[in-house]
Amino acid sequence: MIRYILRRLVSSVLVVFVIITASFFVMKAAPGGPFDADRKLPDEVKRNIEAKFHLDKPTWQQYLLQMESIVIHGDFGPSMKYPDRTVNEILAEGLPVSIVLGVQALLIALLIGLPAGLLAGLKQNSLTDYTTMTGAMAGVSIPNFVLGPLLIYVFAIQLQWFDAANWHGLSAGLGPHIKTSFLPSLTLGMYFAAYIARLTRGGMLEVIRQDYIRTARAKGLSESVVVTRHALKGAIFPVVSYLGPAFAGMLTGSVVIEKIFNIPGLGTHFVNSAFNRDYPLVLGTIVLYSALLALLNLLVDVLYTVLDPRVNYDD
Amino acid sequence: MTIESKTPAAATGNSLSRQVMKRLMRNRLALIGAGIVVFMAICAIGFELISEHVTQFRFDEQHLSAQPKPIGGRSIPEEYFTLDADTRTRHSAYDVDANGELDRKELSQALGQAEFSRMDLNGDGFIDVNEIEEAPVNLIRGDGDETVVAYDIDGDGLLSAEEAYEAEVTNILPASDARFFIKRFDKDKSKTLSPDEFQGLPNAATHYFGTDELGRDLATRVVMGARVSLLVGFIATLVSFIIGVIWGATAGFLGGKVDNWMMRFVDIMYGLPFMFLVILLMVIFQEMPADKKLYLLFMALGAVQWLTMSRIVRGQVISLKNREFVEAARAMGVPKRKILFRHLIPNALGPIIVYVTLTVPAVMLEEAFLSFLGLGVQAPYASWGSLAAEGAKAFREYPWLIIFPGSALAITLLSLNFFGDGLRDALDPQTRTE
Repeated sequence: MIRYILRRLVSSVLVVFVIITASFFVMKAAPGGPFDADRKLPDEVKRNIEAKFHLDKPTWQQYLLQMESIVIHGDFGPSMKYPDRTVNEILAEGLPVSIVLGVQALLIALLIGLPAGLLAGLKQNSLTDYTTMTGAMAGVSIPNFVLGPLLIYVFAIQLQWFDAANWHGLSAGLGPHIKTSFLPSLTLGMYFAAYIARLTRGGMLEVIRQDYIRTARAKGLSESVVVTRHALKGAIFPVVSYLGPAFAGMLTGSVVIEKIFNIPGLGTHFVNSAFNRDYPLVLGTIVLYSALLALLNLLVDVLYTVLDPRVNYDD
Repeated sequence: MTIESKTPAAATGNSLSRQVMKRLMRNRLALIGAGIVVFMAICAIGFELISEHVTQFRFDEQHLSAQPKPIGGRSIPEEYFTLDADTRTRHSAYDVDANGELDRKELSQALGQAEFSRMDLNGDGFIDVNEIEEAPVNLIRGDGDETVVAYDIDGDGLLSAEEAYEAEVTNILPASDARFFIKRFDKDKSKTLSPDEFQGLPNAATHYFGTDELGRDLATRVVMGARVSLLVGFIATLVSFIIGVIWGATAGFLGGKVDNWMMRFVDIMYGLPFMFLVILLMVIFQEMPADKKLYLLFMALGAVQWLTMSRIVRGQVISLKNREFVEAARAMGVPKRKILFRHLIPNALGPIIVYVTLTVPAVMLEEAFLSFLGLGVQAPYASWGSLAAEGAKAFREYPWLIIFPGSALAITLLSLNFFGDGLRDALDPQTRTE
């Protein structure tokens, strides 16, 4: 197990390395630089600025300098758009926000998706089943940037239960935090809730026909025990293996959600920095995202072995 | 014995497809889904016809006004002029001085008349304050109440048709427009319109879905969006299909070390936050001309989706390649490439088709996501995603801007998903468990 985790960590580092390299050269190959959009600068000034960010050196040297700074010092350097702030500072500010948003969305997705899927699976071909699954189908079909404004319109503008913007963060206290973060979390989590419901139902249908369930029933166990003790574990396997892609999808989705709800998270920084050609910040966000994704995927796989001892990664 | 002769597998495949068809026909939701998708596709293909005859506006035609016109608002199309039989017969009715020609004032009143009667709800020939309040916003300039007070010349609290004309309440065709139309349609330069010339006159066409902030007809743009969104969905899926099938089938068929390396590569690619690279790519090539960027979009989105496709194909090929009919082909000396393309891939097609069907909505969703960030389809083209993105900016004031493209997108995705699900159930009835 330890060996497996170590091996995975090494390959994750490799992936992150590949990403840095790929992003770096893609950005270099692109027309337009970070200081093009502004008013035309005098040549000397431009030269000085470029020298500060090593833009006057050949590309491979820039790459090595950047790598050295990232790998050895863990430092992504100053932002090119906001020269008084370092990329590390900006990331440190955005990451917690995005994590809180992601965790809440995941919780919502599981809290809605699992029970709905279990219910539908247990009462197969009933009215409950059909309504739940049609709802789930709608859930995976409505784009979050359509759902978001819709929820804002109903719950923030008409009913005024929640706020449409002004992310407070947990420091403002739980009440205000929920008021501002519930809608974005729900919008982000909805798709995954729907997908998880579909997976859980599928898993449930698969499991409920297995022999060991029939045995459990034959032993005279009550239906609730059969479901919670025996069937549940098998039914959520597909969900666990979906968690990896779900994390990736949530990271991507958060970009849109943060834009709709004005949340100062990583996604906002990523898109803005890409538009501004703020190379260090782009690299920083991409590295952070990839590392996060690799870590979460590893976690999911470990969780999988814990749930199902038959899975063995060591060979 | 020729290799080209039909294998028994192909013969049973035929009856299998008939069974699948039968099962699919029983699934009503899947059929409705398929119907909606076909309808959307027809709209997308027939965009030019719809734009000319139904919505009557071009997709980039602007009719600027202070704010977007709501559902049912009207403008005069630049190109697709329509002849209204009513208007044609009314020429003599509007000809107040009965000289057989309409002058500017007569024309103004003529064209305003329809709007006046539309506003005159109780049909008494006057517009009162209440009726002005009820009137569609685009028919009134300024504050309705003030209009009545200011232009109520005889002081009876009501606006007669003449007063309304003075007030330009009927601003659908104010005096300046009448002048323009006379200039344009007055062929004999008499400065008046004869009955013949009058026939060439356009009527205002209705914006069924309202207009956007640049006064473009939303209905036309939503149909345009159908074309772009579906095109992106299908072509990007095709790209992923081709890459995925070649990659997966090769890996599965060759097996061993090659398989190991090829699938390792797929695993590593899976670990990448792919959409972020796509975002980066689209940002970087933002300056590209709009139509070239569309190709880039196809490629980028196809590249995201081929990974799963190759895994599915590989799994299918591996499970098939040790079956008897393949062994028989091998024993007969059929070349490897031929076994792959003639025997393995056709038989693996079922699950692949299902995955393809479900990939189309996924790709469309991704395109919409990119367009939402301003990175997908560029103006003057429009996709459902880019339209909804525009609508999302001002949905509080102008909700129709997001409702129409958003629901078009959601309904199409829903239909594709239902159809794909139905297809899977039909192909593999075991997963459905009756």
